[in-house]
Amino acid sequence: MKNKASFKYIKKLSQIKSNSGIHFLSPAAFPGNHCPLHTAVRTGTDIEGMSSLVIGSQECGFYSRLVVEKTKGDGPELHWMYILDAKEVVFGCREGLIEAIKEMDAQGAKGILLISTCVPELIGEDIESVAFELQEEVQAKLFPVKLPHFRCNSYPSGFWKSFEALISGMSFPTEKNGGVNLLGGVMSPGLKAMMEILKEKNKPVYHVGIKKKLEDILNLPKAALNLVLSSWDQPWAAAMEKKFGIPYIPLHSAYSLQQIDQAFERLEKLTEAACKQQEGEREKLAVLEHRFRQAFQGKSFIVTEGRADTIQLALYLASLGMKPLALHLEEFFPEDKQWSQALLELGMDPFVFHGVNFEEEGVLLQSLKPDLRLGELTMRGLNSLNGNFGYQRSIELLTEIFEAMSAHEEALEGGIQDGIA
Amino acid sequence: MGLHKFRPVPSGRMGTLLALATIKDAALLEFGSMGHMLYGRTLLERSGVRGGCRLYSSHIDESDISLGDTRRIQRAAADIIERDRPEVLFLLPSSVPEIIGTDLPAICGELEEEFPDTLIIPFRQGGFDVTYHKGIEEALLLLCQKISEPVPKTEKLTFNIIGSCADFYNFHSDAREICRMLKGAFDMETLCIMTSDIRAKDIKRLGGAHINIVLRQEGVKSAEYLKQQYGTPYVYQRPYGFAGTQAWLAQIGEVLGILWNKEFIDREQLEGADGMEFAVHVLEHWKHRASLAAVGHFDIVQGLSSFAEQELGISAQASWCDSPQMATAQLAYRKEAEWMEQIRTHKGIMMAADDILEYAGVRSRMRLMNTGGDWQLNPYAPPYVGYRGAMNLVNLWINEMIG
Repeated sequence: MKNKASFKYIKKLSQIKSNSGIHFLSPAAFPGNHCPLHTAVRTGTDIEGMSSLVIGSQECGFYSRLVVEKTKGDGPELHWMYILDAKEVVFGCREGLIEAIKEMDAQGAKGILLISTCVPELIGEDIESVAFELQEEVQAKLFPVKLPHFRCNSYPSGFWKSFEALISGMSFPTEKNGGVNLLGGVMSPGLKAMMEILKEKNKPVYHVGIKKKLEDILNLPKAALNLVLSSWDQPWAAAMEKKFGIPYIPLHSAYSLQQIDQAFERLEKLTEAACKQQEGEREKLAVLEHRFRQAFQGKSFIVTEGRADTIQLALYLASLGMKPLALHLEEFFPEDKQWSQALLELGMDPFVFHGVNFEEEGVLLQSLKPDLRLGELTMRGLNSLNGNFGYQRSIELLTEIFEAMSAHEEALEGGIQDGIA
Repeated sequence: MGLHKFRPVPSGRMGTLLALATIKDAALLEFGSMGHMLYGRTLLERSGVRGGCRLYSSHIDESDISLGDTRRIQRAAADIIERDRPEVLFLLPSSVPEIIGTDLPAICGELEEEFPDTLIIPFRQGGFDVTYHKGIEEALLLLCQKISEPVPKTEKLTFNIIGSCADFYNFHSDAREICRMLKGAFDMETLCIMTSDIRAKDIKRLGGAHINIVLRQEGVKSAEYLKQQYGTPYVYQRPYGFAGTQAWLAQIGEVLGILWNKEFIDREQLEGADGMEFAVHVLEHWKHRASLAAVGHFDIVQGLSSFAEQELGISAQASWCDSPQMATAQLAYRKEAEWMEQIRTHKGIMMAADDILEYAGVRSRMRLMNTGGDWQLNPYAPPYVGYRGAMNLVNLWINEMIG
């Protein structure tokens, strides 16, 4: 039986509709990925005023304390665990869970992220119905989120499903403030400048960054517009649009000059403020894209960096003439259906895989003979693309690729079999 | 189980992992969610485990669960065996397969047919009411049963340590102190340290030792097995304190029928004498804080309590162990609701996990168990057992009391 890293079980993008179609490149994960419990607990602990209850096995409870820096036996923020015993695994844990939630409520918890993991999900414990029925009896707002690791390969759903769960605690505002919510991302200089412009127009700006406050999150529907800076934040922006009619602009997926221009146009239209960045940057990107097409038309690449929005990135480079051969996906986000379609329409149909053993898989990926390998470049890190927006982001990306490809060419001319690809 | 405000007692599955992860030239595969193994590796790294077993996960998805498909584990096992050529492959139970009834021993049987040259051992402490102690006990026993072979006793006097595992804080240092003392007292060499410092193939030589030093009750069944199979006697005790350590060495000498090196013993006692004398003097003035609350494995807490009470006059009534199955009339197990009330009013010395100490409002960093809340990067940290452990504890306790 040939069982080393192989493309044998790997599908092409055209065959992928969800996470379940994305298979491992090698059968034995070393080290593998975090489960969504990790990022859900992180979300719970990063929200001031939020408590959390991990519902699962001893492993889930014990290991989640590696994320919760301070356990805190008592309030105001409680990060506790509900561990199922052998009897509850068979008969369910509803009664015990209800008592636990009531105790957290009695201790003053304002909001409780109820994180259901593999075991309760496998046995069919319906934490959503528990939360729904109990909400009338308790003061704490209950946010159930279902995150079994067997439904995904990695951690991102711990973020985006937890954010989505927060919608249930939001109410229709009695009055709107006409402001803007910035969902996710880091406050880069470019974004800061944009926010200052909006504030000058008396539009309140609330940045939902890494650290958040529960009371502010529950007031998000007061705003007139959501700006999305990360794939993790797109789903709850879409949910807010559906429930509260708040439009959103996905800034995180705008890489090309055209996409960025369109995003700015829409932003200016919806905010009635001139938000565009410096013209110089725009021109610089235009020149760079032109040079890129000329230099790298037909060149191939693979993406092995999990923290990038891989399909969006691949689409951008494909639009500039490159050819994606294989893409590592940490998660197939709900929005990725549209990006996949766009990439397929360009005639590109790369392998889509989930990498779990870098030592083993690097050799296999190298056999595709890509001209560029995004993930091991000496860059600031592809994850710096996340949470950012604007011409400067794409300028930096293309510049780095130019430098990496030049260095590779020099290495080859020097006879050194090293470098990027 | 139910509601926990503090870390739950680890599962049997986790205990198995903690026991096996330090074994070199071996591989371990879990048929379960990847997240378990990633976190497990983090815990092990923070606990000071380096260069041990290669740890893998096959992951598991919905179709594996609904169809009972175990091809993932078979493909992963085959991949590992072909690439790593481990001396032994361990199959770790996991929570999801435990629910759906995945038969690891049967899968092991199929793999053995395909890979007859590789020893594959499945472990079974995957149930939801099984605590880590059972996982460690089974791991130690199966290693003895499946790997050890009849070998001649070594020419020189040698010993095995049974039960040096990564769940105990300072496990490397404690093992080092045991080895140092047995070398000094009896000129005995170390044969195997199960499992914190051993290669898989060296487990075959277990039967060659003249005595087994059992450091925890989970190792007793293994020691009994080795006694039956190879006639190797054993001593089961963790040596704490000066008098406690001397009594332990006396017991070993009696079992082996040899006298100890008096010069070594006298020197060790003398080195600690001044510190002990000073400690006793200080305690005269700090009786109001002469109380130890130690929380952890029964054998550790019992040993520390004996040293504290019998050699220093420090009360250990506030201590408790982490297992209801191991608890006795002298050393109780306490549930969260019980000890949460007690701990905040405790005046004296506390040795416990970081979350308990934080709750108690104590700045102490005196840990007894590895929980991942701290990094234990120094394998040469002072021990808790033996003569040097006694000196270390006296130093820590006195400073904690008067600080």
